[in-house]
Amino acid sequence: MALLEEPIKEPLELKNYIGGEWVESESDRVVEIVNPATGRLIARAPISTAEEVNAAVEAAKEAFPDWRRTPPLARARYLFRLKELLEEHFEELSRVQTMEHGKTIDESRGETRRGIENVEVATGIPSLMMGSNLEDIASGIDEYVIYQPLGVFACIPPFNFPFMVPLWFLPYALATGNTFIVKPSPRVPISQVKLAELLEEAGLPPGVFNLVHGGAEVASALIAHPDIVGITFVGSTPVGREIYRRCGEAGKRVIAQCGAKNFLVVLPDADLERTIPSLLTSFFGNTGQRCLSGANLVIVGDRAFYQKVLDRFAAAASTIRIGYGLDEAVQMGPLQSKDGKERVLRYIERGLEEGAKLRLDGRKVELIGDYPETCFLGPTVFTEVTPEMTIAKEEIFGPVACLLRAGDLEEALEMIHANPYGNAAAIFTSSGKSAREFQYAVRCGNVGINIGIAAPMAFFPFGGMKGSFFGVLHGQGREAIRFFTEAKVVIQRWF
Amino acid sequence: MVATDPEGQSTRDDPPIELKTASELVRFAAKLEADLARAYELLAERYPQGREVFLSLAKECKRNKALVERVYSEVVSDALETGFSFAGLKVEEYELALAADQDYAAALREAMGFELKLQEFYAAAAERAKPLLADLPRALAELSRKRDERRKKLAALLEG
Repeated sequence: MALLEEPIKEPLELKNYIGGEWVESESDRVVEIVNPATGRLIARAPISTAEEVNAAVEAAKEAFPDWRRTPPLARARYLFRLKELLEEHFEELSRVQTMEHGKTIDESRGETRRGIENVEVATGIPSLMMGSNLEDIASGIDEYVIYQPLGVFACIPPFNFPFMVPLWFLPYALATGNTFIVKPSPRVPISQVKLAELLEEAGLPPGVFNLVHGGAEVASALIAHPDIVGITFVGSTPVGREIYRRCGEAGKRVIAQCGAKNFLVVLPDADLERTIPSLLTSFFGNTGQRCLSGANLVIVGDRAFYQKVLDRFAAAASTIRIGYGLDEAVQMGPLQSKDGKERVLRYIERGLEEGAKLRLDGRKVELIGDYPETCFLGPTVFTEVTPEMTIAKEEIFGPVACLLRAGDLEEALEMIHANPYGNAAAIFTSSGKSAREFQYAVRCGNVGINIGIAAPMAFFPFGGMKGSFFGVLHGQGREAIRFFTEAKVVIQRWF
Repeated sequence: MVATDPEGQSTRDDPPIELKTASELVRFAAKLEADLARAYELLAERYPQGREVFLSLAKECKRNKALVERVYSEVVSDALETGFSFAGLKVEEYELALAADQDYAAALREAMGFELKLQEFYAAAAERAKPLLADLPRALAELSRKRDERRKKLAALLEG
């Protein structure tokens, strides 16, 4: 089968996009972006200076009044043009994600599609942003609410979904009349540069969208900037909590979607034939690097059922084809970085030290094709895991499944609730009663019923509870519209 | 190890025995439809008595190819089991090779055999695609069902 052509032939020198211009950074600090599968350099991105951050904010601030006055339908038309361009460049965008991140081409195309879906939803802005009114709240007096944009927002996305995550916010921010700055993850900035090129091609007025490269310092400067009215962040819990605190103190809006430790519960009445592919996708899709990935697999029932699930799951996981994601035969790519792999390796060691057993050891990895093993790790399955072990409590962010046993659904729920995170959980069962009980009781923002990755579609909010989310309103759909607008209530009487 | 194919892509010279990913499946389905379209166009040149039917079948193959590619592109999601749903689909069971020199009746029987192969391929793929969004398995099942009608058209030529 095909090894797809790489869209990046020579290393790219990435620039900032400020006020409608591609601007070379004055900074002498540069991050090298390496394809994690091949080890080849594919781009260099600057760590932007404080002046460049200020320039981006100034451009966005300057663009805001005109953009705000642009009728919603006219703003939507920019998004329609963007949607067309995204479809035109669908394959290139997807391959770029595979090159910078390592995920398989199926996963990258899925990410591109989910990003586009947010643009599609935001094109409905004339309806979505509409207020409401009521006549005669008192005799001859009417009252209505209108939703208005706030100003300049900034987005700090993670490395695991380099293309899609900014699109959970950007289309809604622009559609509602705000202006926007993205600071891509310095590990995977290329697909955001491609998106910026398409926004430029769509004819967006200068300053409405801006992109500045950089790491934590640039993010911090954006959060602190007095002209930024709100931040959207997706990343780790400690950083998200800190951003939430700083934004709270400064009176800024914030959506902080954070870490996770997701439990998948399999009941004895589950349809195992259908469940196993779902489990594989959940634990090993995106090489386990997503906030919705399965982490702990809780098998409810007796020892024999536990063994049956373990045998089938481990057998299926052992056949996963690992290699470069541009090879269509590959089912799992590398981790995004060497550091990421080392972190996962430390967790595997920790699991063994604490008494868990390895049923499948991903450290011995066999690749399709001739690639350096630097970032590759195979599917890893731990058995005999108990809830108090480090590997059962902390987010590993890699292709590692921890199998636990529970006597009944109640015990499984107790395990979930003892964990500080509350991003996602799933149940596999053929009992509507058990599924309903699980859905009702579980304290998680995204719940799957016979679905391993409970990823909300663009027209639903992306949930999160406990240590997995800081904020009130969520990304995507109507909640994003509310996040990016302020309600103004008018009461009127005419004499 | 790697050679470039006519579409500017490269192909590994050790193809896997089984299709596993949705991307592989869609590419293979598209290749089958394209191969079959070419085969019918060749039959139309060789056998004028069946030309109209062969050309219409070829045209439909091209539409089928576009359909399967479009549906995949519209429903693909990182959250669904695109990487883990197609185990067991063996490429060699479905590959098509048109015999170079044969009479009209033999060519028709061979074409009917191709249609049967594609019917089986799409049925197997649809079954495995069930965990994916309904659109893809539905499209695959529809492409399988269509083969009955196509075989009937070929059988009518054989009888006529």
